[in-house]
Amino acid sequence: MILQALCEYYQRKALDPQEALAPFGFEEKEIPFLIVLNSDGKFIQLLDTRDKDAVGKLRSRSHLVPKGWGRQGSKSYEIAYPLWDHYGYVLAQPKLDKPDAAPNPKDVEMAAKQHKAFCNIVDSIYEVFPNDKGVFAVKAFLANEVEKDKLKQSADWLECLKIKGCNLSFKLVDAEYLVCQSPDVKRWVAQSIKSDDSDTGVCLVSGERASIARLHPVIKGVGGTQSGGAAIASFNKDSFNSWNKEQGANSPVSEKTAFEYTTALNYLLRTQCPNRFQMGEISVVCWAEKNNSLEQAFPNFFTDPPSDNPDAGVAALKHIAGSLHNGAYQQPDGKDKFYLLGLSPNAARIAVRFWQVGTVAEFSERIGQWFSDIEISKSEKQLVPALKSLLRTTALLGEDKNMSPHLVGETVRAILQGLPLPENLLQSVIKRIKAEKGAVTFYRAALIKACLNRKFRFYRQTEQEVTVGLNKDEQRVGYRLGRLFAVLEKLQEDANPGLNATIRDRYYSSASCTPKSVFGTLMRLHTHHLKKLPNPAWQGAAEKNIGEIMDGIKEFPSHLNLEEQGLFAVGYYHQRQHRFVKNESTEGAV
Amino acid sequence: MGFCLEVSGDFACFTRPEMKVERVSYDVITPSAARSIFDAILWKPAIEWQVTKIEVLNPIRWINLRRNEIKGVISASNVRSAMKAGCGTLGFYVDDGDNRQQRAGLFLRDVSYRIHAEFSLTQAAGAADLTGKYAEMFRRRAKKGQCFNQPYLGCREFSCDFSLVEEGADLKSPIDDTRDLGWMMYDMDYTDLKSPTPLFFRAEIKNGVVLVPSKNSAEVRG
Repeated sequence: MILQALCEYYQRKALDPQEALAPFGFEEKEIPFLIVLNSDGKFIQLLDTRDKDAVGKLRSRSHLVPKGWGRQGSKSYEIAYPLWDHYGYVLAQPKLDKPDAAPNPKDVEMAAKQHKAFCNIVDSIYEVFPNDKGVFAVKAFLANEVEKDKLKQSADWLECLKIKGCNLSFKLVDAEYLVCQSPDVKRWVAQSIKSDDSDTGVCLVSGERASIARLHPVIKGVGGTQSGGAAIASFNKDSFNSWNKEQGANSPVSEKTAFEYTTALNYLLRTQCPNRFQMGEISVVCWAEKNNSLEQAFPNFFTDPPSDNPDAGVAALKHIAGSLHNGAYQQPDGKDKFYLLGLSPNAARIAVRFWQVGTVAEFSERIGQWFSDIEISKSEKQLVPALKSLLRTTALLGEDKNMSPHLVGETVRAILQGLPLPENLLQSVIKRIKAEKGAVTFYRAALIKACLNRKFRFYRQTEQEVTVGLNKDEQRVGYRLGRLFAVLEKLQEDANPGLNATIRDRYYSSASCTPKSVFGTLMRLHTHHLKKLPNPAWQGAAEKNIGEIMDGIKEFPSHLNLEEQGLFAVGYYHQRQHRFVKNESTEGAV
Repeated sequence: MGFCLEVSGDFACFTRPEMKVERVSYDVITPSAARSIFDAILWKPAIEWQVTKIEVLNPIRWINLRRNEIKGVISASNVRSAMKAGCGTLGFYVDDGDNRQQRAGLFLRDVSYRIHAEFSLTQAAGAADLTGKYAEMFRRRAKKGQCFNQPYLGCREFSCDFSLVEEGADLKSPIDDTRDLGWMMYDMDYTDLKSPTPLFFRAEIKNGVVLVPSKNSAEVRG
């Protein structure tokens, strides 16, 4: 299903010539410098293709070049790429530690061998297509030492040397495209596509009989894998083989299909791709069957907005709200399939963390439901949080690397399938609140409310859901105790202004787990606080409030279970928010 | 002769061949895994099981697990020398740092299927082998819960419970799900025992039912 969906994405992109991905035999490669020649092979200039990106770093532009087949091993210098490669192959420039350093004699030898291989391949292309102007120019240039020296004298050469293993390619001064992109070279590539004598078999993605790929092209872009790239279908150890089959024979996929799905996945995983986002160690990509605006809006529900567009989250939310009416999706493209793939690194392999397939309508509705679940009273300035910000609150010190990857995957799955959130999530949030001495922040309260409401909706439909704002009629004892705790804390703050540690720091954990042991003390304390209030008029208001809350509490329970502790936290949060929502003219009135 | 078994288990992993290392399961039980359940109850060289229909009774749910496994294979020559010598160390330890490989898996959980299958006599069947005989054997064993090895759902560690479904019993209806599952692994073709080849078929789930074509039909490619 996964590979098939990726191949369909490749084909969908291929239909639109503007957006087509690299055809079979080609790949997108970043080439920082282009050698510009005239039709006789004379050197004109060294063109720098790099632009400054949003961060200010220089990024070179990607060009479509004939695919570089893998080269490894001691004889790797014999394999040169057609009409593009790094400066060792193109110009016999040995690798240097610094641009002005003297090269190692071994490196000089290696570079000379590499250059010879490069010239050989250019000659072989020339033999097949002698009429191509570009190839002729390159052949003439390579044969001419004077021209090569002119290049080394040019201004940008030192810049080029600064990049280790800088890739170079050729361009004719009067042509739009690179020499390796000319029609003749494309034909040469198509003819020479290496197919090692691999067996034919039935491809498990397309069902067609074709030659089976022995090794699939690598996937770059999954954060945490090795820099050379990793593979989804990889059988790199003996114990992974079945029936003594080796490498690709363990899972027959035709070469064309392997190329298509890896190109599509590499495209989706490229940096700056709007369809991709990172959740802790999981790289997630999303795409739809047909062009759909949900593809770009989707990542903003989960991850922080990019720094150059902080309103992206709000815009995405508006998009969802606009397409739903009473929770049901209204637009005509609702039946289009939508795919979400979460990939996790494991050295040279990629593990699939989650794979969700649904329709655009289903996903939009479930996201809409999610946002209504996390809605809770808040100050005006606060934005609706993305999932990542919410999950960060369960991590130690609020750092991404401390987030449990299991929790992230399970939560995303639960949201998209409309299931209750994992039990582990409620437990983690409450644990952090207790560890941080009762820090019930907006994010944590929203998460707890979502956990509780989804659980009630799924398992106990008769149970009343937790409300967005303060609910004075709420009878559940956990909620009432939370409210009471907030009121008592405020009373203490009013009675002793400038206090360093309130009852929250000292008593939150025990008040929320074992109220009976603690509330006795707290109630005893509060009478003293009442007497110490600076303005005696506030005393009446505070007593009234406490009385009203106590009215619903028959007795302090000895233990509160996890759910009730969640209600405690939400009640505490609601009561504290309540005094900010009203006008502040009645200061001290809790 | 057609029989019906209802199987259920806590976990299942019908591994996709392309994601064999970091396991990802197919959405539904493969005909190969279904056949293995029938084989576990009764199999003789004289009979061959053919799965005809699979009904999915529980909604499809997933779980993610990471497990420590090993990367090496015990070499045959080591075994041979141990046999000759009469003793030897063949053990493999997971907590040996070099050998350990952590493999993630995306498995199914709380699965339940009703599988319909029939058997036919093979070339190995002799004169005394009658279909009636094997049918009775199977029915007896399945009712009693007898099996050669504990039936499992894809991987041996995910064992399952089974029960024979008789005619006219009260049946749980399959889930209401209709979609295309793409090309799915059908079984392995064991005609060449040294190097079996995989067979694939285009699977579709219609109202919770997957119809499985016969092994020799044109829909099975291999």
